[in-house]
Amino acid sequence: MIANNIRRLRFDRGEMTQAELAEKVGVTRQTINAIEQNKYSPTLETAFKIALALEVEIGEVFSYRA
Amino acid sequence: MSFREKISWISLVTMTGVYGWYIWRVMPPLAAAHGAAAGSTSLLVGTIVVLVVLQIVLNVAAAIQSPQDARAPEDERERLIRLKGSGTGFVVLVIGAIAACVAGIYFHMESVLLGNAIFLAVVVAHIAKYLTEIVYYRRGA
Repeated sequence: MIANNIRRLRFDRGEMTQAELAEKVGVTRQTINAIEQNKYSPTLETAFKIALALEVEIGEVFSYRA
Repeated sequence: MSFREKISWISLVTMTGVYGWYIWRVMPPLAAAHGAAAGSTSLLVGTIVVLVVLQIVLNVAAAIQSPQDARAPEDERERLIRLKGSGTGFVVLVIGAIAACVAGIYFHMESVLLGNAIFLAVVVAHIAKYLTEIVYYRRGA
């Protein structure tokens, strides 16, 4: 399972909303919500875009739990 | 709810309602008359027209409600959900079409009844497609 810290990192970045992050990444707000709730695992490209939008390394955003 | 999930709901509800009415209206008399009932073709065409008009109106209403979402291209999650829905629909369509053909041969169905049986398989396949999409939208892809 791929876990993430997107919600916490959004709030650390001046309370960025899901909609704002979605627009930066190029997906819908519902997709960002699904990722945060672990209902959807993004593609590698989208994962990198999320990390870039949150101004952190990808390893700080996503982690893998066996 | 995303715009494309709304479209899936609109498609599911309108198809189930409109085609459900058609099947309820047409199939029993057709089966009783062994496919010889007249007027079912015009009723089918009329039903399709009603469905198309209804879906256009409701899709436009949904687009007016959220124009930005409507204009945006589908994202990767929506594309994945659409593909999964299409996969399910295809399997259901193949099973339904084969079942209709086997039933047609076994029961010596008239062409009109056989045609409606295959049409029913198409309708059920579409309903399965939209149901699958909605499940993935709700529970995760």
